[in-house]
Amino acid sequence: MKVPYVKAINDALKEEMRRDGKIVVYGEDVAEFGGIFGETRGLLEEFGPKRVRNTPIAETAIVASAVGAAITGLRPCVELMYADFTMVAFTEIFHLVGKWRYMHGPEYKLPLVIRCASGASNGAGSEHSNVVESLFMHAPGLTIVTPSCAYDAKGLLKSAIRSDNPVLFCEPKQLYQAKQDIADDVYESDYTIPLGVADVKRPGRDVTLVAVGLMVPRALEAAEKLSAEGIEVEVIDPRTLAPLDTETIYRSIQKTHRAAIVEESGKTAGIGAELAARFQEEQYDELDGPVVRVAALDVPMPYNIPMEKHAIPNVERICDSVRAMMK
Amino acid sequence: MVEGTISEWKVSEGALIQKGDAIMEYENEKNTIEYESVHGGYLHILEAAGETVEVGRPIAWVTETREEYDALMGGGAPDTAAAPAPAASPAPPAAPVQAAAAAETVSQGQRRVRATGLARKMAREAGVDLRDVPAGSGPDGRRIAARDVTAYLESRKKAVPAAAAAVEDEVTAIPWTGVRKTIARNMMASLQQSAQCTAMCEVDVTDLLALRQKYVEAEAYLGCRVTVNDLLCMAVCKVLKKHPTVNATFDGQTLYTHRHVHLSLAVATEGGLMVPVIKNADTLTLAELSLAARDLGQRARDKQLRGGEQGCGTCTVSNVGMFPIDMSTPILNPPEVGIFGFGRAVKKPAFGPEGTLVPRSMMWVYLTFDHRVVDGLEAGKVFKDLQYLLEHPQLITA
Amino acid sequence: MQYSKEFLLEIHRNLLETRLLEEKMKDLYAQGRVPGHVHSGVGQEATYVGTLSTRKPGDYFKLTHRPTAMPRMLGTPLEMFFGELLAKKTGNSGGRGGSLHIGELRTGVLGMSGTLGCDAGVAVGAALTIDMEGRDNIVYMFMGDGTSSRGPVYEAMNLAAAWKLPVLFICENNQYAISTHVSTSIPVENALADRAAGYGMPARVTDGTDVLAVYEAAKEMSEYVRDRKGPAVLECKDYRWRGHFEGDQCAYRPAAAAREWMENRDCVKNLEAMLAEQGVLTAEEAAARRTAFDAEMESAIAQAEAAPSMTPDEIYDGLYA
Repeated sequence: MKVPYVKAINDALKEEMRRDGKIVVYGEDVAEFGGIFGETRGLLEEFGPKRVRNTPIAETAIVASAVGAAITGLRPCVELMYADFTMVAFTEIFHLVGKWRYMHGPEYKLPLVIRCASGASNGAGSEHSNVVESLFMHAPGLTIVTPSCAYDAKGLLKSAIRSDNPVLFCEPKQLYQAKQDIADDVYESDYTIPLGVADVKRPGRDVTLVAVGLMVPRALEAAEKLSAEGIEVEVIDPRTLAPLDTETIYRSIQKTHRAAIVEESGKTAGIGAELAARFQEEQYDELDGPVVRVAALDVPMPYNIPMEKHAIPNVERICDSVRAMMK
Repeated sequence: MVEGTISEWKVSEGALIQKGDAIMEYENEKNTIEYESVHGGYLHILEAAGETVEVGRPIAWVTETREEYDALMGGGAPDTAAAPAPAASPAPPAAPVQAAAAAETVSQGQRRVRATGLARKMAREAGVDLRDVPAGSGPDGRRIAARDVTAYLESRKKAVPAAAAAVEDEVTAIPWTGVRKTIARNMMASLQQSAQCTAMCEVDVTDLLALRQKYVEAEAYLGCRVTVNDLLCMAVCKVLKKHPTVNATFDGQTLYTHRHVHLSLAVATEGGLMVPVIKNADTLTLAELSLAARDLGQRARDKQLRGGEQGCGTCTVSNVGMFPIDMSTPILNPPEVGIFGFGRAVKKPAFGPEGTLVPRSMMWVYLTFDHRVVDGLEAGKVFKDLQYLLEHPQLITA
Repeated sequence: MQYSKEFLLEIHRNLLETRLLEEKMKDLYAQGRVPGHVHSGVGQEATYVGTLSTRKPGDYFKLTHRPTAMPRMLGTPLEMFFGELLAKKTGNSGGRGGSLHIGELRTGVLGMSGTLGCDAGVAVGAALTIDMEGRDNIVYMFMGDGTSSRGPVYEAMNLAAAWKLPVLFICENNQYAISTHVSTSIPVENALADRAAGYGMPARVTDGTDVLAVYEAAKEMSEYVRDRKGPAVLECKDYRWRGHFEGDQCAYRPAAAAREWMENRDCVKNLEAMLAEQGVLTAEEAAARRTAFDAEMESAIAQAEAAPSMTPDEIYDGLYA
């Protein structure tokens, strides 16, 4: 069947809530409205107003209360709507969610998920278009997940909900309506995808392209084009950015000896900055050239749509970067 | 240019020189060049003849007075900071030459080797000193990449069996510098960076050789002795005018076709392959072409080519007819997209008009072209025209 | 209100032990045996002891850094308490949190955020668990007057009120946010109580140096919360005897005012006077309790000091479950 990404999120929530009565879902406009992207549609009707709740516009309270609920026995899966709003609750995510267990002792478990819709889409402007993974990669103790397709979204969200560790779950907005062909029996099975395991989305011998979220389909399209030119790109989707599956990535680098990171966030201190630093520290002997970052321009995301598109890496920019690496 | 080799000091240590005197000759990747001093005074030589010096390194001091020279000699060699300023100043050999990039990766000296992590690992594991590995395939042409090490190891591997077979071996290390190094790099780069394809056909040159003989008989009138190669070059010019895609240069993005033919001549010299260019060759008469080819060839062999006489061609001619070689697969001279080759002329039996066998002079003609730019159809048309011209040689000068 | 002798003796024990622990901590700090900072809560014990005397098994507590000693009253063994303070593996958080991050789920102590007020929402989340599980419990959410100026407190209060969750918000108003007096930073007389109406919560203000007054006010408000009528506010007025942290000379406030609070509003001294007068506890008996607890503390400190510390190879342990 053709599964839109947003339906995979919705189905993962429903299936998990049916399985475990400890799961509660709350956030801004998740109840009657069903989430502004339709991601929580039908939850209130099926699970009732105690397990599916609207909150006031109060991100710090949403996140901090999820910590309190999680350590006392619930499994909250809360939503912050736009990823930009994680910054309202930055202290709570950075200090409480990430560190609470380490600081307070091993009997503390934080089985909570914070979902958010990330990235640019259709001129949403500079405070509704951010990609925030890199901000939180600096926080020890967090698990950060960004699925790039419907199949992964469902399997990863189920794993995130079942994890006893707190998970920041970023859903690229531009992917919500992207459909993926998944066999019915596979999709309907209770499959999960383990956290912390990267996926080789396309094998190739020449360049390792580590692509995140929205950049994964673009990297795959670029790989197709480059293949026609004789350049075989290996596209790796880390899926979980923290903890990062360096093993899979390094195995690829040891094969291709060239690495680039493609991300929707800004270049400076972005995901690629961290990954490139690690690659050169840990794989220096395998690299046959500089690690390359293909990232968004370091500007507030423009409201003007052609400029918004210009700010984010597209297929051609990815191709050009790879070609330059092969020179 | 990144380094040069001092061929000869034309004045002796301590000599009084004038500004503008030719005091030294050095050899770069392309030429031997006379160096004229930009200072006058007493010369103290730092780098002897035969030394290879990177651009910018002082090779001599020039002091204004004899006293300063004596002080310099008595006080030991000063470093730059301690030099008796302002009288003494370094005379860099490269000053009049186009500035070049920073230090190369290959040298016998202490210079830093630029190499990728992988290249370093490969060299370490193979027990190779990276300073021995020719660089140049990296994005900036200066960093040794894995493929450079692989190429180096391959070349070494080929050399090993021959050496191993000898009972008592004697190995001579020949530093591959200057022109030799440039040629090596260019050859490798050419093969790696273009899609080379060679086509060939055998042409009846009996009439061409006869015509050439006529021109030889007219040597006194023409003022030059026309060679077979001159005629072949002229024929190539004619053909190129008709096929601009082959009279062209290509940078990977854009193909530049040229109205005139700037014909590169592959000239084998003791110092290595030189490729001087006859500019606007298509506008010259046979005699002019002949004289130009002779002049360039001679000066290439004498290392007397001037700047601007190489590297600006639009197509190359390579003639191996003087050797017992029928055919070769020439390597393109980038950014050119074509190189014509001519083998030796050999008498062979051919079918005459009534099926009888007659002796004819036959020659292999071949063309390596960049298949990114020139397709088979185009190459075929080129051969058709070239064969026709060579078999109807009176048309070459028509 | 009539109190049993047992109740009064228990209140006294908790008040006295808290006082002695707070004093011991500052002594240990002065001897250089405690890392980080010590925020002494001497003089503020009654607010906490009075309020927490209304607790029931299964309740949750979001404590504060001042007084640090409160987990003792809630059941933390002394050697564990000192273990945490001295950054030992035997501490209730394995020595990783320290006095600003004490948590012990076993006794219902939720933990603390060093960024004050960010943990108000944690209390609300614990109340959500109580709500979902239909338990007869409440969450005691303590904060100081300084913290009452933080936005996350109000997001938490609003959410608790919107969802009618069982949280008692307690403001221990000791009048100083480090050096800043409430009169210059808070535009209402009662830092939290005056703002409760904005969230539809009832509020009571009481003398925070009178442990029984606190107990009575807390009993009323906690019963309101326990009856699931919604969250409520309790504000207790007291005074921070010592500096914000040990070493703070308090040059920003009049010494006379502090002396006046210490002499006339000493919650331990006043309770002991009352108990002596009522014949519940003589001065000698009180002194005996002091001596006994001192010995208990010394033994616990010795145990804690002998306990192992975290080692470098354990530094990543516990980051993930």
